[in-house]
Amino acid sequence: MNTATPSPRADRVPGSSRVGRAAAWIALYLALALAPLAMLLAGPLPAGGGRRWDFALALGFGGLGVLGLQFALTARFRRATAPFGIDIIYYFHRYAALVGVALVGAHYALLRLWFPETLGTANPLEAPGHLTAARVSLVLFFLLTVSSLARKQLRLEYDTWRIAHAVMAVSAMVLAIGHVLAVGHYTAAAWRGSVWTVYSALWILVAGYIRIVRPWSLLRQPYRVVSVAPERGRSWTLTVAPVRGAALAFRPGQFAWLSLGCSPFRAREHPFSFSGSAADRTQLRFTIKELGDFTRTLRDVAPGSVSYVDGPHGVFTPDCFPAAPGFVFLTGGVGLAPVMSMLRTLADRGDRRPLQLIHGSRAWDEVLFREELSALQSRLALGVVHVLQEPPPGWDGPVGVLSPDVIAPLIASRAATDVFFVCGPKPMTASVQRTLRSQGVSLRRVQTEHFDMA
Amino acid sequence: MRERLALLLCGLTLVLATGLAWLFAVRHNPRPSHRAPPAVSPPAQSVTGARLFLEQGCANCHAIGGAGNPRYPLDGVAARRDRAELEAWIGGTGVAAGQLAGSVVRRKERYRELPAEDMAALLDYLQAAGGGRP
Repeated sequence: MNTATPSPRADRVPGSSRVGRAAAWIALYLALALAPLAMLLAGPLPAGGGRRWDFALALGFGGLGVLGLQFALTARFRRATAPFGIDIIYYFHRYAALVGVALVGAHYALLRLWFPETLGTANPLEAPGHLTAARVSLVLFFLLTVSSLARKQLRLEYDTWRIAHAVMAVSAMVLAIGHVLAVGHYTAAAWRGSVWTVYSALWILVAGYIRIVRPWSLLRQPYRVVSVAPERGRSWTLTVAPVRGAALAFRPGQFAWLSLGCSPFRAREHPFSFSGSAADRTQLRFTIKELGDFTRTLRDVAPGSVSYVDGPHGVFTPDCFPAAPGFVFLTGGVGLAPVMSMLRTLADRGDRRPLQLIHGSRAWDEVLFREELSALQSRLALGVVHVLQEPPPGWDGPVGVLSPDVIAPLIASRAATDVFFVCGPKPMTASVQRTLRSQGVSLRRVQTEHFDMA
Repeated sequence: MRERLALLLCGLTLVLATGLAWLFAVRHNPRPSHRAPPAVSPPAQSVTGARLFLEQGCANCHAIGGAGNPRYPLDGVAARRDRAELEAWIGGTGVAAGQLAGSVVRRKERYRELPAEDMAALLDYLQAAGGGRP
């Protein structure tokens, strides 16, 4: 790696020590998630209520541990997420939260099945407060799950969903903790009272960190919009510059959460890839396609508007592979943005390793960065192949999508050695990964990025 | 690759949490759980008491004949307490008030306002069904 390259604080360690760190974080995750169950097992405790009763009860403790940890998973602690990439942490959050909700749901379902009388009436005017708290918490966890898995089908606007998600998650957790502490049979025993208070407070503190400390630290590093320039393919390049000092250091291919024209406390932020060179510390560039509610308003952003950048995040970067003999990039549409950052950075560093870009677009006029890609070929050992769905008359390049027929012959000579970066729409990414596997490319050398977080 | 690891870890979490929950249940209850055999059918006059036991939320915290919260079973309670003591424990008054947590006493306050015939039916039920297994 070029020593002049800015080195972001986190995820600077490739290779085996990264694996070691990942293993340590996974161990810590398991320890924290299973801590409530471990506390039950640590004894001594008051007499049990029978195997079925205690099993149903313990599932509730298990669910609470897993759900509490979701606050830490989504807190964007850079040191903890660096070995994995924060995109996969959000992917993990999606399924781990489901595990937590399933455990809490099983806790309720088994009590309803085995001890129906103990639940009594659901009428909040009649039922004990701690059971009402548990019922409301359960409903909120259910709503959280449905609204997250089916946000688009329910046509929930992203910003509204995010705020509702945070409010519901904190409320559900506070009610669940209240329920556990009010029942208190096992949690109050021996030394557990104070440990439970600290454990519960931990998740609430993490939620406070996400909503207060992090936005506050962003507030101290404001940026101003320099320009919003149109690109081919209904995309825009947004350039921001720091109000004072240098722009944050990032690795090419990484991304950041961007707040535009509003305070970071309002949580109206969106994840976008850096598309500019990491060697340029005077400004940050993001290339964004008009896809959703927010991106459609991008063209109206006035130069001079304030913005805040939470980043860098992600491990989708060639800098994690300093020893790779070459790179192959397989992209579709605006998925080219992070790869553009890689190409511009490698060019600025004078990197001479062989690079191959295979990029899919709808039409020739919509090929993002078409002219600059040509220009970059004179500065890099870069091969560029465009794949068009609607080719112009006389087009002699590949037609269609990045299918096995198109990709296989282009990568055959590189399959055994190069590192592959895949970025584009979900179906394309999945199909290209299958092709690469069938061509004998080791999964370790295939890098992808998840953008569709909810 | 990373997706597989994430899904694997989710599966591991589910298996470990369920496994530890079961391990706790078994270790904490060396003998398999069983629903206590239903108490002898309550006599006619305490059928109302049985209904009140469920309706008034007694089963939130107590079980009789295996029905309700097994944490504080009341099977055989009539062998330990006379009728007056039972009433004190229902309403959280007298000797019971000193032995119960404040939150529980507050929860029990509502039972002090039970109509006399309902309290009598509940006590009948506790003495009949709750006296089945000293």
